[in-house]
Formats: sequence, C-alpha cells, structure tokens
Amino acid sequence: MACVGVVVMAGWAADVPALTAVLPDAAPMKPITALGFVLAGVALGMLVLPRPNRFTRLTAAVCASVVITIGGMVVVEYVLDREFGICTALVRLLASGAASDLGQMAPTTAVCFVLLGVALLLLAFERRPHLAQSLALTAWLVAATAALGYLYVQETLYRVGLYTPMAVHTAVAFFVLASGILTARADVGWMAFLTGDRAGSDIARRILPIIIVFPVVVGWLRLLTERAGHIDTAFGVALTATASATSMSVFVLVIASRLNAADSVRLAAEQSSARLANIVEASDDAIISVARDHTIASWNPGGERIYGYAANEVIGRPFSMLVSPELREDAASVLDRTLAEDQVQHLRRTHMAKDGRLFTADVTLSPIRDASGAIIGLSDVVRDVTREVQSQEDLRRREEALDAFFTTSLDLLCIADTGGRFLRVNPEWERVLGYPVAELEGGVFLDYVHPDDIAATLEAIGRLSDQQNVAEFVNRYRAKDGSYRYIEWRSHPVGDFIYAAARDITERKAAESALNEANKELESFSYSVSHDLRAPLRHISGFVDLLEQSSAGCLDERSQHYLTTIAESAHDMGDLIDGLLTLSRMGRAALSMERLDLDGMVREYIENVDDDTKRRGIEWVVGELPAVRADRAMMRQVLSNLLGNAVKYTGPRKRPRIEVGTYPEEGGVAVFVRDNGVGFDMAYADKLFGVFQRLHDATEFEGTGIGLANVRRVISRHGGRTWAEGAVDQGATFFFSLPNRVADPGPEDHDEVGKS
Amino acid sequence: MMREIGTLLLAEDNPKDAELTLMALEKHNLANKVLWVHDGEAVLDYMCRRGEFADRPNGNPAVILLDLKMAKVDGMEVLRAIRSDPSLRTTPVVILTSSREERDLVESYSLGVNAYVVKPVKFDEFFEAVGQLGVFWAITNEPPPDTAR
Repeated sequence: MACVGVVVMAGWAADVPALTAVLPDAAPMKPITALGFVLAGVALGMLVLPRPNRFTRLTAAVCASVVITIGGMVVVEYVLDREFGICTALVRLLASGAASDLGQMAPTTAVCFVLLGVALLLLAFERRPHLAQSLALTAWLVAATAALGYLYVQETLYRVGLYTPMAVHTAVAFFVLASGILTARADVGWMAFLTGDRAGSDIARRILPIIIVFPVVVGWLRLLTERAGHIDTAFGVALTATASATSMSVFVLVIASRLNAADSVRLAAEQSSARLANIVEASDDAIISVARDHTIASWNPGGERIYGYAANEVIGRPFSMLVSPELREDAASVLDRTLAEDQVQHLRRTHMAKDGRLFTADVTLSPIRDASGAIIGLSDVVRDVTREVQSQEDLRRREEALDAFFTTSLDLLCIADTGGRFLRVNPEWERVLGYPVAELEGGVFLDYVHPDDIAATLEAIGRLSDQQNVAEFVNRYRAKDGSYRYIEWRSHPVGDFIYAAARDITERKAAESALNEANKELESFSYSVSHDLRAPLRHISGFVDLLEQSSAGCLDERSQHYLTTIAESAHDMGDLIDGLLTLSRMGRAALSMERLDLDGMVREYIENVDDDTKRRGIEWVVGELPAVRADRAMMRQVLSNLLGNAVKYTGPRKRPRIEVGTYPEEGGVAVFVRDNGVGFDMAYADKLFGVFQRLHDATEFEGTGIGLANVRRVISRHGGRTWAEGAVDQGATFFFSLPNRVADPGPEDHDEVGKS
Repeated sequence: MMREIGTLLLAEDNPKDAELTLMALEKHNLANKVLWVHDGEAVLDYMCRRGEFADRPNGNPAVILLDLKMAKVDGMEVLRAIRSDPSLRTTPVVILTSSREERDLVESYSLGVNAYVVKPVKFDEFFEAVGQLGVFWAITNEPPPDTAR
C-alpha cells in the first residue's frame, strides 16, 4: 500500500503520467492521496507485525492521525468550498512546479481516508473493533463502488458531481487497504463472525465471495454484450434475472445441503451426548467434571447419593471439598498432574461426604479435551467402596483366624485335590513327617504312602471323589527319616477339593500292639500255669496217696498227720491256681451279652447247694430281682461267689439268714446280698475286693481270697461297681450295680436265648 | 468167654504222670496192655510203623491216651496227623491233660477227638478217672475192625 503511494509520488515527482494515472485519459491519483496511502500503509504494516510493541503502536497511531487530518481537511475544504492548498503545497514540494493545476483530492477519497484513518487508530489502541471494522467496510464499499464504476464505465460511480473523480488505482488501493484493515484483526469484531469455526461462519466464508463476485461479473457481461449491441436491454435484464435466480438457487441448495450435513453431525452428537448424559445420570458412581481451576463443573445424581451434596451446592466450588481435609493438598497436586501429564489415574482415597462422614473411594481421573485436543478439565469418577473394603477386611480377618487355627492345630490339617495333590498343609506335617511344608505342598501324596496301603488309599480317594466323607481311615506315611507313621484320617470332599484332618497315631498303634503283645504273653502264661503248675500238685497228691496206701498201719499218728497236711496243701494250691485262672479268664474273655433272669439264677444256686448247707436251715429271702443284659457265665460266677460267701460266713449262726434284693440306683440298678454272718470291720472294707486279701484266717473259713476280686472284675467289665457294708458280728452286705444299658434287657422277643 | 483186651497207647512226657497213670491202669489189671511213649513223635512212629516201631505187630491200638503238652510234636499235632491219615483216622483218641483251657477243648473236638479228660488234682479222683477210661476203651468199647487184639 505504502508502495503504491511511493510509486505514485515518484511518478508526480518525475512527471510520468503512466505512473500517476495508470490508464490514459483517466483521472490521475493526486500526490496528496498517494501520501495518504503511504501513511495508511505504514500504519497497517505496523499493526500486522508479528510482535507489536509500544513503538509500532505509536507509529501506527501517528500515521493514522495524519491520514485523518489530511482527509478531514480535504472534507472541510469541500464543505466550506475553500482551498487550504495542502495538495498544492505538497506538489510544490515534490515537483518542479510544472504542473500548476493538479486538482483537488476527490471528496470520496477524503472521506475514505477519514474512515480508514479512524479505523486504524482504533485498531492501534485495540478499541471498539466493531466500529473500526464498520468504518473500514464503509470505505471498502465506497472503493468497490468506484472500482465498479471503472469496470462498468459509469462515471457517476467514481465521480461525485463535478468534483475530482477517484482514480482507478486509488479505488483499487482503498479496496485493498480496507480489506487489509478488515483482515488485520479477523479474530475480533464483525470479522470474528466470518472467521468463526461454527457452521454459519463456515458457510458465510464460502458463499460470500461468490455472492459478491457473481452479480458483478454477470452485470459486467450484460453491459458488455448490451453495449456491443448483441442484445437489447430487455433480454439483458431477463438474462441477468435468470442467471441470478439459477445461481442463487444453486447457492441455496448448496447451503441447505451443507446445513443438513452439519445438522446430522450435530444431531448425532446430540444423541450421543444425550446417551452419555443418561449414563451419567443413571450411574451409581459419582461422575464429576472438574475445570482447570479445580472447581467442580458438573455433578450427577450419583454424586448426590454418595456425597450428599446437591448439584447447586458444589458446582463452581473447589473439588478439594470432597476430599478428606488432610489429603486436600495432595488431591490438588494429583489434579494438576492429571491435567499436565495427560494420564488416566486410578486412586483409592479417603473422601468426605457433606455430613463429614469419611469413606473409602475408588477414583478414576481422566483429562477432558475440547475439539482441538486441548485439555480443558478432567472427569472424576468416584465409587464408594467402603462396603467392599469392609467386607474384604472382614474376609481377610476370617481368613486370618482360620489360618491361625490351621497353623496352630495339633492335628495334621491339609487341603488336597482329588487328583492326589497336597494343596496346603499345616506346619504340623513338617513336625510329624520331617519334610518342609513347601516340599509337601504341590506334592503327590501317594508318593509318601506305604506301598501296602496304596490300594486302600486309592479306594478312599475314590469315595471322596464320589463326594462321600471318609472317617477313621488309617494309612502309613513315609517320614523323611525313612520311618513310617500311622496317620488316621477324617476327610470331607467339596467338589474337587478334599479337606482333611489327620492324626499321627503311630504311638497309639505301638501301644496297642504292645498291649496285644502283653495280652498274648499273659495268655500263654496262664496257659502254662494251668498246665504246668497243676502237674506237680497232682504228683504230690498222687504219691502221698500211694504212700498212705503202701504204708497203711505202719506209720505212727504224727507221720500220718504229716501226710494228710501235705495232701491238703496240695489241694489248696490247686484251688488257688483254679481261682487265679478264673480271674485271668474273667479279665480276658469277651463278654457275650444276653438277657439274664437274675432271680432265676439265684434260685438255681439255692436249689443246688450241697446237702450239708441244706441241713443248716438257712432262711433265704429273695426279692424280685431285675432281668439284665450280661454275660451268663460271668454273672453266674458273681452270684456264686457272693452267695457262697454268705453261706460260708453265716456258718457259726444258729439262724442263718441270707437276703438278696435290689433297688434302683442312679443310672442303673443295684443288687445286694445281705447276711447275718460274722461280718467284718469297715476299716478293711476296701481290702475285701483285692486279690488274696482275706479278713479271716484259713482255720476259721476256707477260701482262696480271689472270689471277691473276681466279682469286682466282672462287674467293672460290665460297667458297674462293687462295694460292701458290714460290722464285726453284725453281718455283711455286698452290693453291685449295673448301668442301664446293661440293666435294661431290651425287648424280650429279641432275647429268647436269655430265658433259661 | 472173656472179651479180648485192646492195646492202650499212652503218650505222656512227664514220667511222674506216666507212673501215676500206669499205677491206676495196673489197679484195673490193664498194665500189661499199655505201651507208654514219651512224645508225639514216638506216637506217630508207632502208628506209622517206622523207626524203633518198624517191626511192631500189625493192628492199631484200641485207644491213644494223649497228653497235649509234649516235647517235639505236641498232642494237638499228633491228633491232627492221625485224623488226616485215612488208615489211622478211625483210631479212638482221648486227650488226657491238665489244661482246662477252652481253646484246647474247642480245637480238640473240632479235630475229632473221642474224649477230653482233665486230669483231676486229687489223686483218688485221678485214679478213678484214668481207671475207668482204661476199662471203657480197652474192654467195654467195640473198637474199629483194624484194631490189634
């Protein structure tokens, strides 16, 4: 622009019409106009510099002011119809003064300078962009009109009245200058509308140049053809109308289709955002958007549920109000980081609700971008996981408790699968077998089982696979030292898992086998006793007898007495051996329980006493005795011992009386045998039932001292107890009790055998 | 005519018991029909005619009085051997023992013993028991056909 001005001024200076007037016979640009363009061009140049500063701005302002002054003075000259001679003065300054009548600047040119000058000034101070652009646009229209005048060869368009016309290049220069001013700050004022990125602006940008250029071209063509005489005016008007209607229709259709396309995009976006909005509304999570300044920008019902704040209570307030107070600074830095680093962050935080309640929240922070990709804020999705955390904590505690039981158990505990692997074992395993827990876990348990027990173990696993419990299963496991341990199992299957509690019963097994061994030894001992101890007795007794026969009449009384004593001793010893054998048998023999009628057994005994006893005239008082379940042979032994004792110890009585009775006892029944015999001292009551314990010497009463020991053993094997009461010379009562399970004989028809 | 008296084979490892037994049998005039051997092996040798009894006359004893507790081969084994040999199985066997043990009784009878007698401790009882045994088996009882007379 300034160049145009400089070139024209140079033209004047050098008096080259080609430079001042462009076209021959056309109006030339006046030197003062050229100066105006130079100044306006400089001002515009200053304003569009990439980095404006105070100097450029000031320069622009000064230039603009001069342009306004020039234009304004010319306008005043025209209005007052006086000439101040600025133009002449300038010309004189430049040229040699050859041309005396250079003429005045066109009035429209002057007005345009004023308009554009003011526009530049406003732009320089960044004030009133709308006004500036309006002024520039006005100037642009004036210039365009003038230019059109030249194009259409219509003088009235570039010359007002008889005043100086606007030169063609002046019009073009104004056109360019106004365009420059309009585009200099396209981001503000009216131009912002055209440069905007919305659909309307977009269409305006595309359509406007065509709308402007098209009629001008059509009009020009019409004038051209009309003036050439090819067509007449009516045809020209028709042609113009048709072209305008057609082209306008095309533009409208183009605009409409563009709008439709834009609308579809917008509609789709709306639907998608409505969907998103629905999701956000319906979400149980709090979905919060946060602006760059950390204030809350949006809030959904989920947020209201979780925090207790309504949307209007939080929107515009800082996000940190939702965070536990001591975490607020940290939360701010997390927000900043998310905004800066453009990363999605997942956090577990303590947040605070409206009522001050703190809760554990799972937070997902992600940046929100605008269409250009710039981060404009972030979204914050918050879920209240207090309950989950609590239940996880509860679960963990329970697991810990179970774990504690698992590790502290004295039993062997394990979890295995039906495929035969240890999944988990407790430390007790390590103690018992010697392998580290880590070695056992994951190991195949059959590898440890004794080869002879593998078949049985597989069978047990089979039952577990069929979801049956397995109890009291015993197999042997090889310990690290090569020995085998007996393990007793109780296993419970759950799906493919086996939960098992086991116990090392090796010691018990050893004790059992030791006991069996001892029992066997005892048995063979009694066997030997019964065979070998009796033989010498028989020999003593036999040969004494033979001696008595062979020496009949030859021995004196004393010698005869010796022989008798030897024979009696041998006999007593035989009784002792029999008693001990019985006692041993009572302890060992298996009980064969049957229904017994005690009453009948007592009567049977009484009927079968020997004749000597019968002659003594004993008064028998036998009450109704209970039927019991017991071993017949053993109970017969008991009754015969007790009744035999009663008979024996009532020997000295003139009126012997023996009573047999019963009474219910807690948990069972008690039976007693009472006599009015010699009795005993209660001080020795405890000794009565011991082996070889006698309270009377053998000269008073015969006996081996084993009978009551036998009674006690039999009764205790039946689960009962024995005791005695008595006083010296006051008689004695012997009691035994039988518990209910023994005392209750059960339904009779099941025990036909028991009835004798 | 008086019936012929069968042979009694007494197996007893205890000489005192054997003496008392022989004494009792003597009292019933059976002493010369008794053959006393000391152990189970001798019983089987006798029955199978081998060893020192290879040349003994034909025929089985009328009864074998068998003690249970003997050295080498005990009474129960002898009984089992006899009962499982078809040529010997008919020979009557009586267990004469000190044992009152039930398991001995049960086993003896299940092996097919003809009688089981517990030796009484009292000599008169013992005398009586053994004497009656001898009389019954050697005289009263009709023995199987292959019995030696």
